[in-house]
Formats: sequence, structure tokens, C-alpha cells
Amino acid sequence: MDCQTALEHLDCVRPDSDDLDLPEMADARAHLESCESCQEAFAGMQSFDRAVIDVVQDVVVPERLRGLLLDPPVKVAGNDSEDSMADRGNSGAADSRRRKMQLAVSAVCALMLGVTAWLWQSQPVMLSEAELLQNLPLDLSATGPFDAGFEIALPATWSGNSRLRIGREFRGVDLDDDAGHDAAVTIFSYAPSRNAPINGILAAIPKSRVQPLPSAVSFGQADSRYIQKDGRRPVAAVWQERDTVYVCMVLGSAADLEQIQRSLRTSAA
Amino acid sequence: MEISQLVDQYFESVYRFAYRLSGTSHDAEDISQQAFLDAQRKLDTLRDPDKVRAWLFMIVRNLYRRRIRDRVTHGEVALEVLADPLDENRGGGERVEQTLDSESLQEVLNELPEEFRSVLLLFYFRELSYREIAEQLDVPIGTVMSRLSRGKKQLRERISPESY
Repeated sequence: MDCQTALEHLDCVRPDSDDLDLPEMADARAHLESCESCQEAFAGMQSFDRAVIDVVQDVVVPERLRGLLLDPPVKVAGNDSEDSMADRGNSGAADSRRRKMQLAVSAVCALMLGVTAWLWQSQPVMLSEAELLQNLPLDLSATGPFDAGFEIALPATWSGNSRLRIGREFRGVDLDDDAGHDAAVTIFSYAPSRNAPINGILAAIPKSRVQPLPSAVSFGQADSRYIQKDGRRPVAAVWQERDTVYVCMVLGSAADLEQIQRSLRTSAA
Repeated sequence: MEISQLVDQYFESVYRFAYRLSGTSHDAEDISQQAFLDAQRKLDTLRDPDKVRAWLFMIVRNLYRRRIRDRVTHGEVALEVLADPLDENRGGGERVEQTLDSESLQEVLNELPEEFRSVLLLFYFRELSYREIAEQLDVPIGTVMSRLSRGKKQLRERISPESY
């Protein structure tokens, strides 16, 4: 067996395993014992493989995943025949308690509805995540300069990364047909080490205008999702930081967006 | 074995494998959930309880391949996914040597065709020998050896030797 063939075989040997003892490795093993240069090359290959084995496991598993996987099964209605006598005897008192509880809950709900209706008149319209994704523009050419109705700060990890270029100014977007801008939007471009730049927009909306708030509290944590928009299919991430909800939309794939997330997470660390 | 035991013992490695295979946390999460649903349904077909992890990885891999097929059908997959395996000229741009870290490893993996990526990941997750990979994927041993060798060559070319 020549060196090249032997090394091709040896490349299939997992570090710290007994793969080298497999019968089809016999020739490569014999060659290795008698060839110093292959011994050196093999040691290098194994060293590389050990390093990759360490790094390949370096993936952050979402905390909520286990809960999602173990999501409790749908409850099956109880079997009457298994009800105990004691349960049946107590059912009248339980019903009475339940009715009182229902009345109390109804009263509280009615009161809350009244208060909510009163507050409704004086509060600005709240925006949902879906409305933000639906109404924020991908093309900023029709937007005007931001009216500075609220303060804007870049997300914590979005500064100091040489691959990321952010637009010089923020544009304003009115999302509720009311006076004033509700969101400030700018363009950005991320230049990977290879491949074409990834372009997108970053929007900032005051937290007080968004309900419910996104669960992610950093760009790196935010899930990516595809959305339908203006005949295109950008991928978006939504998260909150300090007093602001951010929306990042990228004209590319989820892998593109996650590449930016990883890069900014790394540069911020 | 109960499915809750499977989840407890393997959800992290299943997610990591799915992530390395798909390249996105969104896909990895979806695939992980579907994988455990499939595992629950097929639990009685598990022949060797010592190979549960490998069995789950194969479920993940099949789900990922189905996902790619669906995306191709719906015109969603980028053309590079369909490009010729390990074409030296893929990407066209300058190749930059990278340090070996989680992100750069993923970038290189993303550029490999699925059949090479799967073999490499089964190898690097230390789950199966190349002979077992061949059995699981139902391809000749020589094909697995060739894919491993070419895939690893690509990795080594792209990762700076000083970084490991």
C-alpha cells in the first residue's frame, strides 16, 4: 500500500477509538508501522480531529428546548367509573365553591374591562410583533428623516464589528397612522469573510409601544424566522434590550442572519 | 425506554447534531422536535438500545434531507446547496484560512454538500465507525471513506493549522 492510499484509509480512524484494529485497516496499519512520514501525518490528522471533536459540540442549546420536547400531552377526559365515592360526595360543595369563584372572577374581569376601556382612550396603540414584521419597510426610499420622538441606541453587540456597516442616519416610520414616528429604521450591511455582503434593515421601537414583548433579550438569542413581505421572503429576528424592541430583517437565508448573530456575539465577547 | 428518558438523555446532542447539519438554530429546533415525535412513533423498531444516539441522529438526518427536498420543490433552496459536490471553484471568491472555532467550523460545514456533511458529523460526533456509517447510510464503505477523506481535506484546507 502506498502512502497516499494508507493516509486515505487512516483518515477514517476516529481518535482514541479501536477503528485501527478493524480488519479492513490491516494494510494501512502495516504501512503505518513501517513509514515514519505517515506516522507523522497520521499524528497531525488525529490532532486535527480531536480539535474538531471538541469544537463541533460547541453549540448553545436553547433553554426552552427540553420543555418544548416534553410538552405535556393533551389531557384526556377523566373516566367516570374511576371516580371515588368521596369525590362524588364532595361534588356539591365543590360546585358551589366553583360558582362563587366564577362570580368573583367575572366581577374582576368586568372591572378590568372598564378600566381598560378608560385607559384605551389615553394610551397610544400597542403594536404586536406580527404587526411590526408586517409593516416595517424593507425599502427605506419612501421614508423621511426620523423625527427624534424617542431616543435611539444601537443594540449592545452592534458596535465595534469591522464587518458590520450601519447606515449613517435613521429614517422614521409611522406604524399607527397617528402623528409622529413609531419606529426608527436604518439599513446595514454585513461583509462575511467570503461570499457577497448580507444586507438588511434594523428597526428600533420603544418598548412601551410593543405588546407582548419579545422573549429574546439579545440579538444573539433571537430566533430567526422567514416572513412574507412585498413579494419577497426576508428572514427576521426580534428582541428587546433596555427600553427598545429591535427588529432585524435580512434579505437572505436564516443561515445568513445566524452568521451575523454569531459574529456579533463573538465580537462582543 | 420511555420517550421522556430519551429526551432527557439525548435532547442536547440531538439539537447539536441538527444544528451542525442544518446550520440554523431555527431548523435545528424544528428538526429536534420532529425527531423526538418520530422516535416516539418508531421506538419499537429500535433494534440495538446501545445505539440510541446513532438511531436518533439518523432520524435527524432523514428529516433534514426531507426538509431540503421540500425546499427545493418550493424553490427556496439557494443554488449553492445544489451545486456540484466539493467543486474546487465553488463560491468563486478568495478562500480565507480561518481559525478553528464554532462559527468558522459551521461556515465550512455549510459549504459542504449534505452527503459529505452528514458523514463528517457522524464521524466527529464519534457515534459511528466508518463501517457503521456505511451500513446506516446504505452506501459502500469505499464511498464513506472517500466522502470522509474529501470532506476532511476541505476542512483542513480552510482551517489554519496554528489554531489547533
